[in-house]
Amino acid sequence: MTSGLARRAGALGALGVLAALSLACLPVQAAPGGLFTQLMALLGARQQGTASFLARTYAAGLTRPLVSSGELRYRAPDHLEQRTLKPTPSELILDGERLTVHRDGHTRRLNLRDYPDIAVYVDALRDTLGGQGAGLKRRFAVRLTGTLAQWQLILRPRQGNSHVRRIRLTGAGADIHTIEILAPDGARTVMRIGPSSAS
Amino acid sequence: MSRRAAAVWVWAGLVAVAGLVAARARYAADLSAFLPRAPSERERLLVEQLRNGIASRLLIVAIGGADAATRAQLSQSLARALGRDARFAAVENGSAAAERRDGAFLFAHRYLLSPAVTPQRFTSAGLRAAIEGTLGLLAAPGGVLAAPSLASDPTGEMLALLGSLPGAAPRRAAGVWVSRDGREALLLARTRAPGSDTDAQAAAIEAIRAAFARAAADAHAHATLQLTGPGVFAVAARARIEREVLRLSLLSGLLILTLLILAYRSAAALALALVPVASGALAGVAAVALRFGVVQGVTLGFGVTLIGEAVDYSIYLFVQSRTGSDATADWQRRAWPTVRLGMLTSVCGFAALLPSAFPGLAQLGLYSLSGVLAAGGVTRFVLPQLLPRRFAVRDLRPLGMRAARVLRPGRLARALLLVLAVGATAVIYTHRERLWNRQLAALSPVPLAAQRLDARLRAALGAPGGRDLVVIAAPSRQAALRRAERAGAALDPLVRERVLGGYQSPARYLPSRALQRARQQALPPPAVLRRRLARALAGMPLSSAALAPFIQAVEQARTATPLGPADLAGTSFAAVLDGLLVREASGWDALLPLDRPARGPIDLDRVRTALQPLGAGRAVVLDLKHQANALYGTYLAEAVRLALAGLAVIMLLLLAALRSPVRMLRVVLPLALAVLTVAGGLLACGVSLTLLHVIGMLLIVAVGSNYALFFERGSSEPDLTLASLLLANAATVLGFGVLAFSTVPVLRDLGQTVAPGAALALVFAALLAREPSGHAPG
Repeated sequence: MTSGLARRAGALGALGVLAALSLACLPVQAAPGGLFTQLMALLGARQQGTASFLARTYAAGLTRPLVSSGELRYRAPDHLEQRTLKPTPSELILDGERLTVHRDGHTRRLNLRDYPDIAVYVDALRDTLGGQGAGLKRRFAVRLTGTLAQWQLILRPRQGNSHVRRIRLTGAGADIHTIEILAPDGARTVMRIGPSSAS
Repeated sequence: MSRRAAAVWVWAGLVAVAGLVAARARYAADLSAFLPRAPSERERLLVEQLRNGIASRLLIVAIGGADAATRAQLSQSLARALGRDARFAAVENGSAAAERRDGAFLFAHRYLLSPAVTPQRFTSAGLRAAIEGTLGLLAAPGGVLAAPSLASDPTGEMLALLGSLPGAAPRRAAGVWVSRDGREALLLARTRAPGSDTDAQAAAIEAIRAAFARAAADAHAHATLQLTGPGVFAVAARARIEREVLRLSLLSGLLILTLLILAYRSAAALALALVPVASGALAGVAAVALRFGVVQGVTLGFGVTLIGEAVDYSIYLFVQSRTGSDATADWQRRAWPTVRLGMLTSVCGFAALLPSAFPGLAQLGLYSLSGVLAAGGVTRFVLPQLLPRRFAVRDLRPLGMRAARVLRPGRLARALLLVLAVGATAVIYTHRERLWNRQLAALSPVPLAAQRLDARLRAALGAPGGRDLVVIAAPSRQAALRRAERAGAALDPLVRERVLGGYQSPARYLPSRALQRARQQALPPPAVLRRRLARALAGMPLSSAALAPFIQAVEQARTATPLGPADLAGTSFAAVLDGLLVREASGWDALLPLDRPARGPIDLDRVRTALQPLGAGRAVVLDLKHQANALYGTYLAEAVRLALAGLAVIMLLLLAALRSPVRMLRVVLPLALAVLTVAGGLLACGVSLTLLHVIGMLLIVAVGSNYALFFERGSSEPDLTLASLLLANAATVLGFGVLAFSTVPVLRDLGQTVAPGAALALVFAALLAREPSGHAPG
């Protein structure tokens, strides 16, 4: 039963990125209601998108941050792809409940529902993508500041999720600019989302 | 004292002794009657595993109803309550606290437990490769959530260790394990007592129910509790067998009493008819108690049939001895030889069961054999002394006359029987592919619904089904662990080649002291480690100063006392180790349960080949289900052999008594026809034959011969004889017929074979009798 920890560790790594991907590059469209409602409506209107990412990881003991880069793809309602190109190529694909990981020439298929703490996290992403603000608020303590043109969204897991301390997103309208994932031990990754180099 | 009075006194004395033995006998109603005695070493291990192995101690608890949060709360309360209960070796519900404890144990001892710890890994090059791997993981987006702490575990030993441990995590919700659909919270409880200790299992189950009731009451929750596991099955089966034995005995007793009242219309006759029956039952119990030490509940269940058998003799006596003033003496002279021969054929049939490897069958044989002998003897020697003067039951001649008109032998009857025989043979031939039910489960008294619940919860928990298993015997605990490690090394390539999905081993949680020492020797002392790290980190974005906790952790592991079983206390690994490393009478057994590969079954021959270097007899590969079925197959074959041997002895006895092969065949033919028809009928109804059907067929011959003999020998009072046979047959059919409605498969199979078989034996014997020339052939 313990190896669940190991698999979960791998899958969680993948999902940090999927969070970024899912929120990337959405078109701006004005919507009525409060800021949160409006943002949700904007994000939920997005059907698909492609973006590039550049991630910097900071952790105790590192003399300089670790850098990785690659590409993100999203298609509504629940298809997410992350392709890391540097420094080590890897590919993570989420389709509904199925997560496929290609790395080091190996392919692993996992069922999200076998990892409930990850599933909570993924559910939150889906809620965000679909503009399901209610679902997001059920699982996370949500704090949204700024304006629709320049916002910051902070998500803290409601049930003590031991893997994530906080996820912070910033953006302008439906464009997400950064995603920061903070681990309980203080290590953090900051991802900058930009237009896809492919497009 | 006259010889006659002496018979009564001897009987009374024997009854007293038998009563005393029966009163002091031990009665058991567990499942051991269905587990064969096992002669070979592999079979001994198999039966031992089924009775006392890890899988036998596991109880799975499912909490349903209410809402998810309430179920989780109840799961936690129940886990706390049971955790304090000494009857349970371990209780797990997947709580975060338990997982943290397990994680802390693994992290604290990672350098002693991890198979990745080798001298190579702690050279400069090895350290560099391991640290690069960790940095690569950390660099991936989101890697901060997965990567190990750089300061204390830069080589990723914890991940390597976790990756080496098997098993899928059950689904979790609200912090506890839940079923696949999330509608039940799940707990695993491992009892200290083995699964075969039914009393202890019953107490454990009761403790779970009580703790749950208290927790539910405290939480004001309307939740439901479901339990499964071998212990639950054993307890339920015992309750069911006890209940059914009582119910079936009462029912068949009542039916037979009703039959006799309708026939005799005399309370005195009824009371007297019960004397041989009660004597027989008492003798049967006493004989079984003396021979086996313990009387199985199932034996008493089978014994219900004895009521129907034993009552026959008094029926013959009462119904047939009507004429003349010295009626009973006349009967003893005229009819007793036929009754005696019938009784002896029955005894031969039952005696054939005595060598059976199934204790249940051997007991049935002895019980019935002694019971029939006692009932027959009492009818012959005691009952006549107890009859009041001028005792007579109602004249049943009219019944016999009516029956004789229906059961008239002749060309038409023979033609009908021929058609029936051909039809039955055709049915048997067309069903030859699924003639036999070769599953041991066919004898299991566990209902299908309970088996399904068990399979569902087991799958949800990834709990060991205990299907495929390597058993390693060793003289000491350390030797068992060392051999388990060697076996693991032999199995690893098979996991890589996907012959195996994986395997469990006690050495994963408690490596042998030798292996722990070897790992300690692979760890360099602080000064050396610092030098090697400095070289390894050249050009890497990591400062060696930040790795002080790592150097300290390695030094601590290098100089630590090797782990012992006590160090696992408080973790869920303690229970796993407890199940996988078992103290035996002659030493220790290490158990390595095997996981199936993603596709298809395990190629056990390859596993056996891989384990050969360990030495003959040291590692035994068991496929519990397959081998249990194979074992059952050998006992099915044994039952067929026993039945054939019983048949042969019966035929020899008839040959010797009748002194003519033709007369012997005349007795056997209707019985063979009855067996054929019953077999065809069962198959046509979609029943595959089990061991108990085979035994039932033997009993058709053993019991049916009584009727056939009367027809073969003829009678001066054919109507009266036929009436007595009808009555006796009805009693036997009622006795076995009640069993056919049992929910215990072994009882049901026997009943559904013998009841119709006995009835058909009488009808066929009547139809095949020599045609009456005039009225009385002599």
